[in-house]
Amino acid sequence: MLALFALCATWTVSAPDWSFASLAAAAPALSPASGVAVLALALVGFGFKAGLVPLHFWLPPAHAAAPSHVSALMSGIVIKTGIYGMLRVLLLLGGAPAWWGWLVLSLGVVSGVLGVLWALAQHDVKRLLAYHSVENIGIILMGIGVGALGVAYHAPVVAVVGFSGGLLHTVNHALFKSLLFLGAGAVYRATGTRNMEELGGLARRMPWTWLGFVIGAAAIVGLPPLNGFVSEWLVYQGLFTSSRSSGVLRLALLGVPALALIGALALACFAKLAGVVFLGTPRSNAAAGAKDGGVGARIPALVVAAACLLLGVLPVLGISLVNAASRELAGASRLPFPDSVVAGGRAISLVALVTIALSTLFWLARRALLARRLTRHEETWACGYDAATSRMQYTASSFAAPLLGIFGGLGGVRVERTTTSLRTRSVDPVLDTVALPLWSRLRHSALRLRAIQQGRLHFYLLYVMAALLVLLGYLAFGSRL
Amino acid sequence: VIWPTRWSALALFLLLAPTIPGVANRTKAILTGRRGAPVWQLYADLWKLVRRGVVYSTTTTDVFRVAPVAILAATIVAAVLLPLDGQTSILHFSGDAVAFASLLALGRFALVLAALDTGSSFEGMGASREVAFASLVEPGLFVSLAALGVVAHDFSLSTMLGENDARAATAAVMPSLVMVAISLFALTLAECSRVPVDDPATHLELTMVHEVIVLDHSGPDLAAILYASALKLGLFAVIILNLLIPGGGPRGVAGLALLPGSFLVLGLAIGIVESVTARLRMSKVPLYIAGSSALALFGLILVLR
Repeated sequence: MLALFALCATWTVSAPDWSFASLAAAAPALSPASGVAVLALALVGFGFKAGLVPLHFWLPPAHAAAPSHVSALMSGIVIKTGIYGMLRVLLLLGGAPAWWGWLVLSLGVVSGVLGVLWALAQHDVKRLLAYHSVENIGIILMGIGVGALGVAYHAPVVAVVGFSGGLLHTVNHALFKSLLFLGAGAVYRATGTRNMEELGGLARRMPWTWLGFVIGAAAIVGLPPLNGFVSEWLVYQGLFTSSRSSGVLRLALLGVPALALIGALALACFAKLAGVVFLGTPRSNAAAGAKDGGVGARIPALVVAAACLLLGVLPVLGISLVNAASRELAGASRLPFPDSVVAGGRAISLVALVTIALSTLFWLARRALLARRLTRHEETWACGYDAATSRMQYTASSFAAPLLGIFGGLGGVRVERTTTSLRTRSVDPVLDTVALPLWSRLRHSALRLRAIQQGRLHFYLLYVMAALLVLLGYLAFGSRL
Repeated sequence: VIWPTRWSALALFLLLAPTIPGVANRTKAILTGRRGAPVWQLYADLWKLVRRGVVYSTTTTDVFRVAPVAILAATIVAAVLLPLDGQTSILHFSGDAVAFASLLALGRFALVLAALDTGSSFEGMGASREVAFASLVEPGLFVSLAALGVVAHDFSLSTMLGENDARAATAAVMPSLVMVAISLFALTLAECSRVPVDDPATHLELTMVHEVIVLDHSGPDLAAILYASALKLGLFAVIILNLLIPGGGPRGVAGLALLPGSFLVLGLAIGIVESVTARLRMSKVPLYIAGSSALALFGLILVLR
């Protein structure tokens, strides 16, 4: 908030009032220094709101604490106001210098990779989803960064494709993240726990919730034929097209492996979440007795799931949604939307439909093959032993352990080991190693100021008098200083 | 005139891909002084499995039954995006390389969920390792694709690997392409679960990665998974061989002959690697994958210059 007020204050120095129109008119008159200040303050202020690393630390606890339908709105819509604010500032300024684009792109990469890595370390269903919001804000910012770079280096096609990728991912994330939070809420209502290690086997007990959740999971991972794939494809396209221009802009191509890493880690994370919560056998009595919610709980999730599928099978719908806005942002409203994107969107429809059709065909073939065969039901293979219990299943922490081990200290897991026990705890590296120690030190030094606050009224009146005298003195002699 | 070639290339691809593991195993057998199974062993296995009944774990849900179908469909659609005849693919568009990688990811997601569906600790362990290694392979794969895209001035697999004038004069970038090819081969070994990352011949559940995920599958379901794995090897064979041919392969029947050629080369290479190297310790695998990806990254930096 402070950063945003400072932003407005810097800007309005040269504008008559606070309306958007006069701000836009004042934009060319901004001095270079205040231009830099406005862009930096926009990044800090709106970045806090959007939850980009390292300004994200308020987000996971807040989103996990809210009731699930509210979390759905918070992750889906509220943090996007940060993105909206950044774009609005960009639009009013009429583009940003190259350094801002590079900064946004790199912050996007950092938020994406660290967000998904920290999500992987969580055991709380909703905290995990909240960290994925950080990751997806990273992907959105990568798109916006590419767009801003396109504007700065006068490559309108790169700018349009980049912005449209960022914007479409904003829309898509609102859809699939709402779907996932609704699913998490249904699980919490049915079992009373958000701890993954106490869940399991819910797919059998809550088939409708599972259907919505698995569609949402596949969408957020960016798998065809769902909507997340389309917007990630657009962001990739933005990075790819940047390489076809000349000069420094080509280096944006190095964002490609980062985006690939984010996608693959998200797959690992949602395999863990969906697998541990919904598949296998229940790890507690609460999970064993879970039941699907009523029709009223199913319909919203299924409507959102249908929207995810629709935007995945018909990408042209989503692309036309962001078409005008991204051209406006790119300062290329008169340019036609790039043909390659529209053609790609149509081809993706074909890929999605053929995948669905082939799967259906194979499913029917399999049914026909097995119709007259012997189908037996036995226990899961456990090296010839029977009576396997649910405690023998792989846990969420074990599932994530190899990946988090590879990334070492970045992974956000603290292992507490004694001679008889081993416990792992997920920590937020920014919150727990930087923000909280900093805050406690700040509080400590603030204690020294206590000396002036003794609770006697006449001392306070004295302070007021002194302050008034100083201000009067400034008014009287300030101009001569 | 081109259409029939593309479709017959697809048919040939679907028909011959199961020979790759056969060639690999035969090569390994001969080099280690055994006679080994015939090259067409996988066909016999598939035929046997398709005629069998199935056993399902009582823990499993429909996920377990859908996964084999999904992985097979996704792998075949991925093949449709590749220029199998060395010229151009059946379906191509700018950025189809992303769709290709995502379809393979779709298959992996389905298979990993099916593994977790059994509630088995072995399969959970295998699934965890599979996604961990795949997460490291993915950036390397995209670096390779990006390098090919920069050379081809377009990010469609057809222009990156098929007929394209921009690729015709690639003498200057040949060193980068060779680096990318070597890197892709190393990543293929990881992605398709071969030595030195995984050993398809191991019989101990604790040491398996990919094999343990399909431990509970049987009958036609297992056949679909095994066939899809063979197809995946085929996909990488086509990519690696075609990226080294400047300007696209020969047209017509000669182009079609390139397909079994690439299968033979990859099968031989895998067989040789498997007979001369041991499997890496699990903790060394990330280093192996990162090293191979770094090679591709050097290739990319050289062409970006």
